[in-house]
Amino acid sequence: LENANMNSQFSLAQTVTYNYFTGMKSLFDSDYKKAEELLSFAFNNCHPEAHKNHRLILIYLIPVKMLLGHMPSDHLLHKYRLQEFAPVIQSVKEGNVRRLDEALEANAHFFWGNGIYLILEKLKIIAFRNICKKVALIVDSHQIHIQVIMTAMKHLYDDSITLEEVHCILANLIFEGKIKGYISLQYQKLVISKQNPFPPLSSVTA
Amino acid sequence: KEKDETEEEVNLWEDNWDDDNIEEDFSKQLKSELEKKSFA
Repeated sequence: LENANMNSQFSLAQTVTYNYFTGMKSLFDSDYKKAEELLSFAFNNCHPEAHKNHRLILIYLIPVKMLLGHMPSDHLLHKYRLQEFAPVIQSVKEGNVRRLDEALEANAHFFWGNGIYLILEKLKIIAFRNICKKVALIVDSHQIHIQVIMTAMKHLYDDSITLEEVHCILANLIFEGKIKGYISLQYQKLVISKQNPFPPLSSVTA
Repeated sequence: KEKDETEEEVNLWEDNWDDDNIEEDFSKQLKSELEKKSFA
């Protein structure tokens, strides 16, 4: 349909609406780059006075942007009365997975109602990446004992987390390209790249 | 008017949150937790 070159036949308002819905579909298909493109178009070209529509678009654009590593500013949340996202953003930045769970629970009604609860749960992996990054900076080494990461995760996520779960989270992060490195099973260490071990999320296409 | 809009666009999304700063309170707290277990 995109190749049919029919865009000129439709008004901007119709194109904005079309991009809003196809953007939402891309989000649910986990095609975040595409969703970002479509929803950003809708947001930027929506009638300047259609405040309510801007807000509706943001409800989907914010999760997409966050999954791609761009955090909404306080100004944005305030302007469109989307404060429900504030504690979610803060906990993801910190890597505080426990607080992220609480933040999702606190506004569960709003998130479920808009169908984005499960999308926002995917931010957990980014929070885990941020834990690992902070631990790497604190221990200031390219070889990190998995035990150290486990301690951090017990503190920030779940006291009862097992070594296997930590391995699983790390393996996923490495697979998704969010951490450049490998797990040394023999030494029980996470060995990270000396160059850019935590690439900016916007450069990682999951 | 156009200038206002571009300025606003810049204020909407933050990319600089992903820094290497470990001096803020949260990282200090994590650090002391790791120190307790004598890792850091």
